[in-house]
Amino acid sequence: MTSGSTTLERQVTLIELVDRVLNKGVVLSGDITLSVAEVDLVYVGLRLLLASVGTLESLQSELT
Amino acid sequence: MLHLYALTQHPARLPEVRGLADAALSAAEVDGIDAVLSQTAGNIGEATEEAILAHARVVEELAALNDGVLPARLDGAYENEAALVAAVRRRAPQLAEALERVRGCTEMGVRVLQEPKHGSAQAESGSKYMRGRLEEIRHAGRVASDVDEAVQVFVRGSTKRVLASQQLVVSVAYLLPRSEVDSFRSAVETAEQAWPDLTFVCTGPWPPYSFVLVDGDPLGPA
Repeated sequence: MTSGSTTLERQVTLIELVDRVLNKGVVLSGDITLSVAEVDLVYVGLRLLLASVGTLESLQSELT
Repeated sequence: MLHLYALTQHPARLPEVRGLADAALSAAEVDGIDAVLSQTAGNIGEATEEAILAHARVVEELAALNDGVLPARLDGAYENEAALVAAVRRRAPQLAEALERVRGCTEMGVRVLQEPKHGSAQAESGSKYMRGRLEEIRHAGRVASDVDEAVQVFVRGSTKRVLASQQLVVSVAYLLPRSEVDSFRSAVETAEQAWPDLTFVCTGPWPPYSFVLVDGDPLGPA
């Protein structure tokens, strides 16, 4: 796999993560609303997906 | 206030990770369903990166430890345990059914991407634009059918969005047994070969966020 496609996969994964956490999942009560802050889709979630914060930081530089 | 991460069959196996604002996790049992939660100082107010990560991490760890998990949306907090218990109890039968459906399963995402087309934004006429758009949507539909066909032997459900946008052609979420993840990936890679101008990106495995109940309506299988 090329590094380009790896980066693409990571970006797509992060977008999908945010989409799931904020837009999918069980909603039990309709009376609570949440204002969604501006979320930087590219950076969110790397800590979840990768093993270490060190890896996160290097990837953040790569994606900038 | 209480923050809800996910629902699972009782007794829930709780992970060692901490929740939002480093709070400890606990479970409240309602009619055989455990609501996994933590105390919060107040409503989180906005979905910060930190909150999204903490929520997603707990849900992922729960999915690794429990056979069936229904992730909760990051969508606010409950006043107290009584309010949360009442909310779960109101939908307990549907939630139990949804838990059964996702038991032993995981979710995989497939996004089909294309290079944005340049110079095609200005159509010569409205009708020409409409014909072009219709063809894009048909094309996206064919791609979606191809992906479906390639993975149908592995999956138990899907939620599909045929977008036919500039870059994103199709976005699909599939529910499949955890043991089929590798076969699923291979099948998607094979399907991609028939579409040299497109890039197929597989994501996951995810906890089954797309296969839960929302406001009482089941989402998927489609």
